[in-house]
Amino acid sequence: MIRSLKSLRSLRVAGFLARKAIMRANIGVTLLTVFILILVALNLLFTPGLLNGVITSANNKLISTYTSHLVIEAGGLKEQNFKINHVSDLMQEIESINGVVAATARNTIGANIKYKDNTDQERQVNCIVDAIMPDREEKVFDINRSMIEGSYLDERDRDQILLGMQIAGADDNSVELYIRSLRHVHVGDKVTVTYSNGFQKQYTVKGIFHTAFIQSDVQAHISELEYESIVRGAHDSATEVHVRLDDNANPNEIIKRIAMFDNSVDFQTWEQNAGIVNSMTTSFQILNQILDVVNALVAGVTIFIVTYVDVINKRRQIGIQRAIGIKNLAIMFSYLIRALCYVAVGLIGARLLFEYAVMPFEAGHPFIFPFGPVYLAMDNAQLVHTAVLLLVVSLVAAFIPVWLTIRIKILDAIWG
Amino acid sequence: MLKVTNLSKIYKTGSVEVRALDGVSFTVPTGDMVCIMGKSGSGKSTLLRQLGLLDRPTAGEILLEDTSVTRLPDSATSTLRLKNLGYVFQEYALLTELTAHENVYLPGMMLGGRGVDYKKRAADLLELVGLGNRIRHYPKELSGGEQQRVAIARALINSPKVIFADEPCANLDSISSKLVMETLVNLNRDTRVTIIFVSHDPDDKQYASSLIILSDGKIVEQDDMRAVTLDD
Ligand SMILES: Nc1ncnc2c1ncn2[C@@H]1O[C@H](COP(=O)(O)OP(=O)(O)O)[C@@H](O)[C@H]1O
Ligand SMILES: [Mg+2]
Repeated sequence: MIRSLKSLRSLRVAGFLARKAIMRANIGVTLLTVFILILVALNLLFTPGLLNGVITSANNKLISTYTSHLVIEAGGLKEQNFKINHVSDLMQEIESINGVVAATARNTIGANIKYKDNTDQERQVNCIVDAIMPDREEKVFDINRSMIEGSYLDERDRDQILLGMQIAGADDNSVELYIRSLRHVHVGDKVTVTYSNGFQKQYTVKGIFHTAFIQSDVQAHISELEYESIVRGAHDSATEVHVRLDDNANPNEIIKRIAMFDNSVDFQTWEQNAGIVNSMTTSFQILNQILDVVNALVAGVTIFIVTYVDVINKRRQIGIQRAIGIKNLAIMFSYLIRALCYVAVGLIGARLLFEYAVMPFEAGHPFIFPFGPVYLAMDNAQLVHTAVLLLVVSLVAAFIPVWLTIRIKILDAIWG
Repeated sequence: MLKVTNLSKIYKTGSVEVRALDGVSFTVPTGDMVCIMGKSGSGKSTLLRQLGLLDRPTAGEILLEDTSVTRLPDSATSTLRLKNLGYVFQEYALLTELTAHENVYLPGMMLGGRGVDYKKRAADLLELVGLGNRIRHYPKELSGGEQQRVAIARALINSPKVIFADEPCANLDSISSKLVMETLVNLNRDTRVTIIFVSHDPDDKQYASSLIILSDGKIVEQDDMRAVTLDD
């Protein structure tokens, strides 16, 4: 109690000394210190901001071309019952729920696709073929807007197939998996598809899509109608149902509602599939950690030097403070408070610069990544991380020189 | 009352030992104004620093109001200095970043209490030392003598029992010196605060109620001057 009262007095004196020291300090040194800290804080915000942008952008691709917000699969043991039945009823029910934009069913089947080019060289690709309902699909996914050749499927299309860019190749060797693709397939070409159930058929390529999300672009699409002619008894059943939600919809609420209607199904949110994106960003995170360390060092060294030079210059003054009974704690606090002030101003400055200069500038000239433009994003968690890192580092960096100074005997400090 | 028994201080620099104080004993009654004199290097500053708890003696004991203060931990001596002891150093003893007023009230703030109280008291003390019109000035805007009088005001802020002044006028011209010494004398007379000051100027004897003369760390003369001062 008495102890905390004394620390409180020390804090009050420290605040007073810190305020006076900042007011009377060399303005050039102060500005330079704050400037360096702003740069450091900007650095600390930038890479994670970019990383965030990359993740957001990749997640959006994942959602709009691969998973949608919610994936519904048949529940129970997959070997026994891997179909969702009465799919039209289910989809109708789902779409009546508030917060749902649309639902679409897919049947997936493994297949081998062969193509013989005009030099008679044959190539083949193993892939997943999605049987889709084009009218619904367009409301859930963006794939129809990623056609680079030909056109999208119609409900009634039978002998037509859509190929992902990574399968078709389309003579574009900048495509990531070009070497393993069919390489020379274009719209109108004929490919031979052998399904995993043994059924074989020749299709005309109606269109080629390039979503720039590799997992999507290694797939092929046929119509649901076509699928029902390949797989017996497939009518009104599906391997999975994809659901697109409003931006502010709560997936858990919607899952609860759907489960009330059909408790035989399993749910996956898109986040549960985000591992694909995470694996892409791991190296980014490592880079980020390295930069964290470098930036922390720069901040620490800056604060250390500023504090060190100050206590060296004020050795005698600090001795006098101690002689007249100012507590070491108060002297220590006064330097820590100053370090905190510098960091706080640096953080605020960096935050404002980032939000009102760097982000708008980058939005005008975005970084282009394989899956599209990436926009810098700043989240509060990152801001907090940056703040905590800088505060801790600067406290330690200020503590050391002050501690070394107040350990000197008063006599030596004043008259040494 | 300040009682010193057999106080010794040995400085060790490498293998060289300097016996700066050698078995010094004396008593200072409350309200006394003691002048310490002696040749340069005789141990005056050393004595004052031991009495002022700015250093630890090698041997001997110091009693302040019947309490031994010789072997207290640092935090306790720091508190004692804050509450009971005041200092006027030889020079540059003010904090350059604070105004005269702030310099004076800083120890009051450290002791706690309401801001209005110690600020008022600091202003009154500056008035007392004749600097009522300079309270917003920073040390570099004050003359040496004015700075010393601010230091005296600062030493008084927490109503100490003893004030130590080590050659407070060493760097001052004679007019400023006189002003500083008279400030100290008036304080001693008006508040009965014990003052122990060091001087190398024989004329300063006139201000003291008792005199201690040191030579080679030993007391060679100890006089009660009261009669003399009263006669003056
Ligand atoms: N910090 C110190 N280290 C070593 N010797 C010292 C120290 N301070 C003072 N001395 C020595 O102690 C003796 C007394 O010094 P001091 O008390 O300063 O004398 P005065 O104030 O009377 O001139 C001198 O010989 C001086 O050299
Ligand atoms: Mg001396």
